[in-house]
Amino acid sequence: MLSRRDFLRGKKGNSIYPPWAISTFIDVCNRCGDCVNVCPLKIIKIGGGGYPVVDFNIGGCDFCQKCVEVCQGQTQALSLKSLDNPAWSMQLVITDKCILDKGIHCRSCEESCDVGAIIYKMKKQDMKVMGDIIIDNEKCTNCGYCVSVCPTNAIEFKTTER
Amino acid sequence: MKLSRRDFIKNNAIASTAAVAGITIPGISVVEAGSKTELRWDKAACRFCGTGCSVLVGTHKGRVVASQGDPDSPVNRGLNCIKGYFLSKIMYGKDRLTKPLLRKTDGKYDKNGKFEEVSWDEAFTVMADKFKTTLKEKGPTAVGMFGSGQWTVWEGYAAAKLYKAGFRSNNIDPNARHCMASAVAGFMRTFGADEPMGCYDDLENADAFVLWGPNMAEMHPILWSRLTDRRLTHKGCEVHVMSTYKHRSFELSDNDLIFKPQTDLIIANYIANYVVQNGGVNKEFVEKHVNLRLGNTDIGYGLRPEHPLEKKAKNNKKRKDTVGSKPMTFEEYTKFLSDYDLDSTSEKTGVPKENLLKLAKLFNDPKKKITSYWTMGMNQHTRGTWINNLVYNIHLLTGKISEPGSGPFSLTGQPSACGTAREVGTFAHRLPADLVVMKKPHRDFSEKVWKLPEGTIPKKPGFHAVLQNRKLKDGKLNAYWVQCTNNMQAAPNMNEESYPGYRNPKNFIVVSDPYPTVTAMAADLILPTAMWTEKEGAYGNAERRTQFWREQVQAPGESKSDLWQVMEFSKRFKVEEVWPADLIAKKPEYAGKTLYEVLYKNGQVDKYPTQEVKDSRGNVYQNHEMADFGFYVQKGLYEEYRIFGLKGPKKGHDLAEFDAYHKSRGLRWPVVDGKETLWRYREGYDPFVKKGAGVEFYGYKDGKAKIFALPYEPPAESPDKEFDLWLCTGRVLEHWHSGSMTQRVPELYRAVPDAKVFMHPDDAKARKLRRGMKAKIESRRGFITVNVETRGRNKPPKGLVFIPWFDARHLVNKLTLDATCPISKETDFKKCAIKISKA
Repeated sequence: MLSRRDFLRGKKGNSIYPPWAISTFIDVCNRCGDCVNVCPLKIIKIGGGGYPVVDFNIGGCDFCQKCVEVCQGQTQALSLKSLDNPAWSMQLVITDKCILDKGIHCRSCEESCDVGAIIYKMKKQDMKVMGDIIIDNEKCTNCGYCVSVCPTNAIEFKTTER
Repeated sequence: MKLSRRDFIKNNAIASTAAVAGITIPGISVVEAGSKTELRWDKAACRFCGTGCSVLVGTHKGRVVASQGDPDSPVNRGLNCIKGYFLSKIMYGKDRLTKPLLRKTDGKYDKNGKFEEVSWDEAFTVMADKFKTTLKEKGPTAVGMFGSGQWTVWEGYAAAKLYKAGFRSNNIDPNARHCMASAVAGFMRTFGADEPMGCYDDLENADAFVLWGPNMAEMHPILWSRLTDRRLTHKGCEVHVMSTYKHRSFELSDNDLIFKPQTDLIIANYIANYVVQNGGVNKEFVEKHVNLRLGNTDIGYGLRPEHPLEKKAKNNKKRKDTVGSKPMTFEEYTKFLSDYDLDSTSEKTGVPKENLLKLAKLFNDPKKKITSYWTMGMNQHTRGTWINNLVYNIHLLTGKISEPGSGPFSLTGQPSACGTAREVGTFAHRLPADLVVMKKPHRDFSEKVWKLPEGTIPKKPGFHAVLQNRKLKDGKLNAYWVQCTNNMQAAPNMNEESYPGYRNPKNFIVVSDPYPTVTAMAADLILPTAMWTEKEGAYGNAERRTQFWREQVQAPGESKSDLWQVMEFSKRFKVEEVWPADLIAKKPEYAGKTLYEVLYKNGQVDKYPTQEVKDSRGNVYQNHEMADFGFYVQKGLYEEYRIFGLKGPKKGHDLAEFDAYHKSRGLRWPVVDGKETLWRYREGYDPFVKKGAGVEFYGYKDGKAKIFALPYEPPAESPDKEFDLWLCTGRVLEHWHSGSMTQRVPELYRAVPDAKVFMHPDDAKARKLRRGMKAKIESRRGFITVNVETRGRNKPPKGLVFIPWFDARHLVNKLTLDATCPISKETDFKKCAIKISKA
């Protein structure tokens, strides 16, 4: 979903807020930066307008919830209540920057995926042995570990309705 | 990088045109907007592994901006691996060296000084002074060179000539010693001639593939694609995979064999035993084409002589004892093999009986065409020559050799390990075209070709790779030049041997490299070097295919090719400064001349005048060496080198004339009447086999190959109570060898930035380690700290860990032991004992 801020700025909604952010995150968050400092994997950084965003180019999320815990003393824009839900509900998308269809058996994303949401298979196509990647968004936890290892930056997460 | 909308649209236009043509342009952003977007495309051999893929190189305004798999290449058929896909970026790392750098204090050379930019003239003046002093005071054995299987053919040839003929020192050895010396020694011992008999066409003809350790899925991805294709489309095709740990190649495996380190020797003998016991022997073949030999045992571990293991060993003092053997009968051989039965083999190797049996039955089936593949697992082995011999034994016993789809095939890791290191003979004991320095007729022939006085080439082999580092440390080798390789990172036991050797105050170390590698930073003088398509080049791949390319772009700054450096340096020496008077007296016309005039301006190498280098479409290419030296250097060197194959004492090494290679996608030698040879030693394919002989292993005078009876002997170091784990080193798909090129490609770095230790989850747990945690890896020789990986592509069994060596920040060779195969002198990088704790 597009945030109000992004909507007003005419941006596509591609900022990823910290895990378990409430739907009105942008209105509630006071930009204290506590979640940025507490993240052990340093994947939360200050984004546009001073709001914290997750940058999967740095690494993936281990769902340790430290950011959520620290937010309880602040605005609770990251909500304990939503911990029963997935941290994010995004769709993993592999864009056409991926080099698999050029016959390169890269497999970086597959290897980074712990839950088997990215499956590589070999197939024969046009007399060549090509690789094929199948994404299982049911299994995908949105951990984002596949993003930073992709050599061509071909992996994106698209926000969907909660 | 900011792009205006206009630039963006232009770049997109190029990209979409390229996409239609099936071309990929990873370097697209460097194509400047507003210019005509015409790229000049030309072929070149890939800079990386020994597969020898051909790529099309796209240049624009003096810069390589694109590359793509060459659709006309019979090797890769338009495909690329991920390294090859980003090939166009390897020359443009931000820290590319552009000027010679010399360690100085107060304006003067100082071993402990800081690197300062100097001119080529100053660099060569200091360097020549050091070499001359060393030669004068200590003689030719105190100068040396470490070269490369990444040298172009003429670079290796010119360097070998400078050392063996010019300096009269055989102390020149290539990094290929770390890579396939055991395959060489194995081929020479069994067949009397180096290099595989088969070729990549076996991939489309075999019924089964047996992998003796290699992880082809990662290290030879293009060949793996071809193998996969065969496996998926040919009915009944089987893939048997042996290794000490599970890796990506097991995904295609029909038979998994995870064995305990070093016990591949037992498996090979077990298969031979099974075949002998169960009728799989091709009796006619064995009778006609094979001699049986019982090899000497207890040959040591190539360690320093004072090491307890060397003192204890029996046959390690003299070369003739180490390689020695005596004839044996088939009955004796059968008896020798009988120890290797299924029960004991399974127990000692850890491989379940059913898997062993499945593999043995495969070889026992006379109808199956089988190709064996191996790389470092068999070669980097303290019994590397033996295990090579033992695998040939199986193919010879069954007659599954030298025919389409059948044969033992050693894959190579470097683009010209075969073409340069082996064929040109840049080893401490070799001369071109399978000749060796130890044999007088071979030296005589070489001296004749090189127009040198008799006795110029010394007969004693020089120091091999590991010995060079030991001699540097001991102060016996004092003026040393390293070209085109990163041996500080690559050689074993860095803490105890390599580093003390380079930094020994008695020594002057020169390193030629495009980048400030670990090796370069340990040197006293660094020479900036032109790489890959910044020069005209030739590589020879694992299937005997020689491939050429033209110079595509100019090297940055003052960088010069290895070839230019060697030849220009030779101008600094007068014959009187390097040869004794009695030698010069045999060729008085050489008196007063420089080594450059004697070796390169000899009326032979300088035979071809400068000319325009043109492709068939009329594009004109630069050739800096030709411009600088005033003749077609590459052609002259190549045509002189070719004489060794055409007229030398060892037959079957014929190469085609220079121009033929610029026109083709490479040719597989021996090339006779313009025709390449796909399968050697078999009539109908190989023109050197006598008519009616059927098969002739003409490397030996009687035309017969040798089967060697060789037992299992334990490794030099095994885990014990304190150092309780095996360490195996190796590679990953994304990085090539020491990573000096691939670690500078942003995309490849991003995919795999750091080396990790792959270990079994239980082993990690027992040491209170979790995935992602920092672990201290310690051997008797040093320690490193790396992150733990318990998942991913490599799954070691309990008791063994795997660490790749590409990472300059985590130097795994601080841990490894400098034990070698005593015959091939190749290091065992696959086995040493370590312990792991929380860092």
